[in-house]
Amino acid sequence: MYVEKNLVFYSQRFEDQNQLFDFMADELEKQDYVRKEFREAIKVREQNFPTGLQLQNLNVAIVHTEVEYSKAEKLVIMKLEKPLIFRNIATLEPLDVELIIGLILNDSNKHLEVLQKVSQLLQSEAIIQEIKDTSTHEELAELMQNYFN
Amino acid sequence: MKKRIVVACGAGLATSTMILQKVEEFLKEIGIDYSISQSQIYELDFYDGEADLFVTSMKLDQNKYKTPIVVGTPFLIGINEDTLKEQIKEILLK
Repeated sequence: MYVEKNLVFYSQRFEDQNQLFDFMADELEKQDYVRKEFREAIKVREQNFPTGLQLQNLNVAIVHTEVEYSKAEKLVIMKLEKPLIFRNIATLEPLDVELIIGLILNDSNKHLEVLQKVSQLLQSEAIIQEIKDTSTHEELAELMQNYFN
Repeated sequence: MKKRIVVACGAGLATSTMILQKVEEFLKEIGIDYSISQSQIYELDFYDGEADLFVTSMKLDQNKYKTPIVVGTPFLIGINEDTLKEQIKEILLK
């Protein structure tokens, strides 16, 4: 199970990336899915190697760290209440991001499978539209669970 | 002659894996004999001049490398894939 209901967040509001990453780290620590160094690692990682992607109709950040900070193979999904500025992975230009996909990957051979699914999701306008159309936590969680699990 | 391709991203893990799958698919499609590997961006110096092509997740300064570089992001998001494929083909077939 890559997607768990309590790691899907709907209409979450953050003032900056730091706040978002702290929130994500808190939630993941509660479940014991990450090591305590994850919090800093994900912030540094995003600084050095931005992950913002400009899709046709939605901007997404696929935030992640090196594998040694994760204890599980999970996805964190966050639909933001207001866009947050990230940087474009390719051009490094600022990008208003509305959807966060946190890739919590450890060193198992399973991450190929989950990455393939993430990749398909990013390229499917239909699913992206469905994500945009969700209007409750329940709907978003169900959509993501059906897609990934 | 076998073409050597290195796909690189920040940690040499997530985005490069996604890009690598698409690059491989394309190379098979056009029938190029290749070997492909994944690396972190800061390790590219090591392959520079040896590899025939670098596909990276972010824009790098081509002037710093001998090996031609293309940005592989279109393979991640499915936009402008055809232009990228043309570029890759041109580099590898020349």
